[in-house]
Amino acid sequence: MAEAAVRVPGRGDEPSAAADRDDAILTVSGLELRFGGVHALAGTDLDVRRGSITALIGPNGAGKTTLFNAVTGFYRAERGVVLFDGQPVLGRPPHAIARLGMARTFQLTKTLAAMPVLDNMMLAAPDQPGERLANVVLHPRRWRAREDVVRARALALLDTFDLRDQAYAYAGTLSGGQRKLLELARVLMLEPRLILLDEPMAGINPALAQRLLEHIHALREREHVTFFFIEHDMDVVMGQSDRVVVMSQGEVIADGTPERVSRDARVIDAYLGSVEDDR
Amino acid sequence: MWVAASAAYSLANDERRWDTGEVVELMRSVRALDAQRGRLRRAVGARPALAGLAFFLAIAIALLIAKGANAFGQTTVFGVVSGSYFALGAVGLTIVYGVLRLVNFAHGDFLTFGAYMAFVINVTVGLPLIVAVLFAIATTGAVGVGLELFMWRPMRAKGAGMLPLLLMSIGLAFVIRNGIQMVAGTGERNLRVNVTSTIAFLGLRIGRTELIVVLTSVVVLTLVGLMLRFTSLGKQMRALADNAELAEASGVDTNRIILATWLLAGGLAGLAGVLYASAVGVFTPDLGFLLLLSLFAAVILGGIGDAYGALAGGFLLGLIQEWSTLVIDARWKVAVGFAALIITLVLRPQGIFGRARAI
Amino acid sequence: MTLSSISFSAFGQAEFWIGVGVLAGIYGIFVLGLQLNVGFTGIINFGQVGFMSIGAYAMAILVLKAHWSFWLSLPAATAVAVATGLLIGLPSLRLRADYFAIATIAFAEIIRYVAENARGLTNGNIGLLGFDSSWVSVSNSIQGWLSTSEIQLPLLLVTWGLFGVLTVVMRRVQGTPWGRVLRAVREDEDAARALGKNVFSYKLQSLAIAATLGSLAGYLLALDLAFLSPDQFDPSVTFTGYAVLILGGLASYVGIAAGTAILWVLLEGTRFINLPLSAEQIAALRFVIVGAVLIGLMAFRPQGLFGKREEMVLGG
Ligand SMILES: Nc1ncnc2c1ncn2[C@@H]1O[C@H](COP(=O)(O)OP(=O)(O)O)[C@@H](O)[C@H]1O
Ligand SMILES: [Mg+2]
Repeated sequence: MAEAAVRVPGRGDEPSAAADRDDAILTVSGLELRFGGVHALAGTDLDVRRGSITALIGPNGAGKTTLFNAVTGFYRAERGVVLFDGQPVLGRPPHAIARLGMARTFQLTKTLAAMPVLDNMMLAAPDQPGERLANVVLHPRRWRAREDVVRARALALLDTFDLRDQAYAYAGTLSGGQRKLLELARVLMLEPRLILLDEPMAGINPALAQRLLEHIHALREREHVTFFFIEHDMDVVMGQSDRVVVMSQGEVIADGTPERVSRDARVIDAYLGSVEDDR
Repeated sequence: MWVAASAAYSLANDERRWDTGEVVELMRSVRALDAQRGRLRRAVGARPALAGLAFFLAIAIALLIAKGANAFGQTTVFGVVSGSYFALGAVGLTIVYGVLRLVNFAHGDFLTFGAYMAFVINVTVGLPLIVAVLFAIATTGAVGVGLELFMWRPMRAKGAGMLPLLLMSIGLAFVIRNGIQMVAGTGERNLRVNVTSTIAFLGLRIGRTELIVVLTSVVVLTLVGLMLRFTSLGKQMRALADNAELAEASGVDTNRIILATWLLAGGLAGLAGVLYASAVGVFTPDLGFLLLLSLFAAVILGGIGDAYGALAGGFLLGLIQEWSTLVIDARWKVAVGFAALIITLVLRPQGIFGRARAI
Repeated sequence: MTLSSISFSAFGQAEFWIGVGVLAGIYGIFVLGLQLNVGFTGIINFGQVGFMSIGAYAMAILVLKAHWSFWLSLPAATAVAVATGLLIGLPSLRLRADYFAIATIAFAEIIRYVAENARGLTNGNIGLLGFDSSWVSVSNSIQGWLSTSEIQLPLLLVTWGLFGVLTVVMRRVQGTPWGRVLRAVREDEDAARALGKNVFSYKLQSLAIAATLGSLAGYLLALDLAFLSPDQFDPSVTFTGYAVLILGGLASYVGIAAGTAILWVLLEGTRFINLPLSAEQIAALRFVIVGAVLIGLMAFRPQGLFGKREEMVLGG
């Protein structure tokens, strides 16, 4: 009865139809989240275009990481709307959001040190029936077959990321840069359509950072993965992204091509000004 | 209102696609609903301590009306008596947690140790109880300090995590309790205190010793509270509990403060042990082990790491346990305390007073 | 004081060592559950004895009061233990690890108080007797078939047989994708969530399986003693289990067998050292040993005998 009050929009629409109508893979509007007195997200509005490499910048404490956490379900936003590929995701648990195809990495890498590199990779594979206890007992052949496929894909990815030689070592033995690579490779095992990267280049050497960027571009071209990444290095932001979103004090203050954003007076004011303060 | 709620529900649970405009529209009606519900929640949320107190008073008044002034008053007196040694024991336990993030499962056995040390002086040697109390405080405090130097500090230096420290404290609990049992046996002991003479006022009875126990506890707890609030040592303890790195960076001598913390926690535990032994009359090597979970309950009720909370939690637990005997058989009262512990953990893990701050 | 000497003659007493073996096997099964929780899922379950107690009491009550068949009461009692595990896990598994530890020990103590005070069901401290006649007749025929005079030998065989099978099963299951998710949860819940794993569900499953194993250990203990009373289920059972767990090594199922064998030989071996101690003192000495084993291992060898240092994620 109550159902009738809700208009049912586009039930049965093909996904591609929705995609044509609206080019955004991620839409955030009016997102609010407070920590005690701190308004970490104060009505954040933004969208991320499908197939783009979009950078998110802003001074320390602007709320960038908090935005990622709220969008991926790790924090519970108080109000607002988040649409991923046309579906509302707010209120869903993080694991459900990850399964929808929106994956994320963390500012401090979360590789699982007490597991071998290969296990880190295979863990992330979706649709492994062997992760259900009932299937483990009842359908051993099904999950073993899937395991073979998953292993092959994991090894191939490790190959791409030059981690093949470390496949059987505990992830705890990797260097910091290798861990970042592993985290990106691992997130790809999820076969996501959108990847949120929280400061992927921080703390790794320039050569490795270059490789990471090459991977990101290649993935966008080949697999049509969309990237939304937080970055502090302005050269990377300006040189590598199609669009830049600027946050300050929980709000988006500018949004556009790198050229436009870098000329925006408010950005120069709020962002560059406070970067100087930080130093 | 109902429409909005069910719309919100279908929004959260349906896989179908929505466009932004529709969702925003919908969110607006949901928001109106939220605002109404939010008002009550905020009223409670803004003053959790008051809300908790109001709830507690409501229960007290209901019991008072249903069971009569005398029964209620008498259980309240008993509750305050047990609350006084719960609070003493719990304050030490919670301070150690606040400063060291260590859940010390051996804390109960510190109480046992104190009681037996008092027994040695008071009964074996035959000196007055006051001397025995001081001896118990000194020796138990010394045990706390000794263990810090030979066990906890080296473990911290190794960077030991939560599980090893928990298990180590459990091992320590076993060694202390059973060590005492090997020396003293399992037989019941009692201190040379007067457990028979009682004082009556307004038709309520309280043992003379019990009264002394309550007064001692209240005085000592007040002193501890003042010490934490006003002395330099107390301020440094609270700083360390709030943020260890920051405290260290601003010049707090961590090791010295930690030693003082153990001395305080041990001393209070020793005193609590003697007070328990005096108030109850008899004790065995199981004393502290049987009390430990009640001490945890007091600590959790008051918010772990919060010394004033533990103080309140101790008396609260005493009252809850004794008042429960008005409603159900007295043999359940300890279990009632454990149930209060679990319920608090599940509903308000930060404690009923809801202060997130440590110590 | 004279130097204590060991009376070797006592080592020949088969009956005595069979009894020790039964206990060691029971603790082995008990600790398989702890290993799953602590070693592989990273949840600190301090209430395992509660599941043991519920399993044993539910079985005995079903047999004695509801007149169920002993064999039917076994799975039913395990179901009761699992249901309790879910009931306690649902609200408390969301808590921080140390809070969860305290919540579970409180749960186990409440169970013990219920066993002590719900006298209509449990007979309180008088205890329950006579629930094991079905087992006794089976045991007798095994005994006849083996033509041995050792009364407890059948129970020893059943206990260690079951322990062996369960160890193999748990190891196999741990090697599956399911076990891999558990290890991820053990190390970093947020990482597991970000990779699409329902962390809470896995923790709940882990606790439910531990409850199952605890209830099995409970039946065997009940059959061993032919008697149930609340004081058999005090928290020291759980912590003796932890001594076995750490001795064998975290994250190693095979280590448990070694751990339980060593600890029980150590505990029971004290009987054969002629110390000038009373029985009461010897009993206390055993728990001093348990405590010392825990302290010593944590200080000097936190990974135990067979644990992997690399997998000490709860802080080594
Ligand atoms: N878990 C948290 N608890 C309390 N405050 C937080 C938490 N996470 C972030 N904050 C606060 O929210 C604001 C935004 O932080 P964050 O999103 O990490 O900024 P950024 O990633 O842009 O540097 C800061 O003021 C920060 O202190
Ligand atoms: Mg950040």
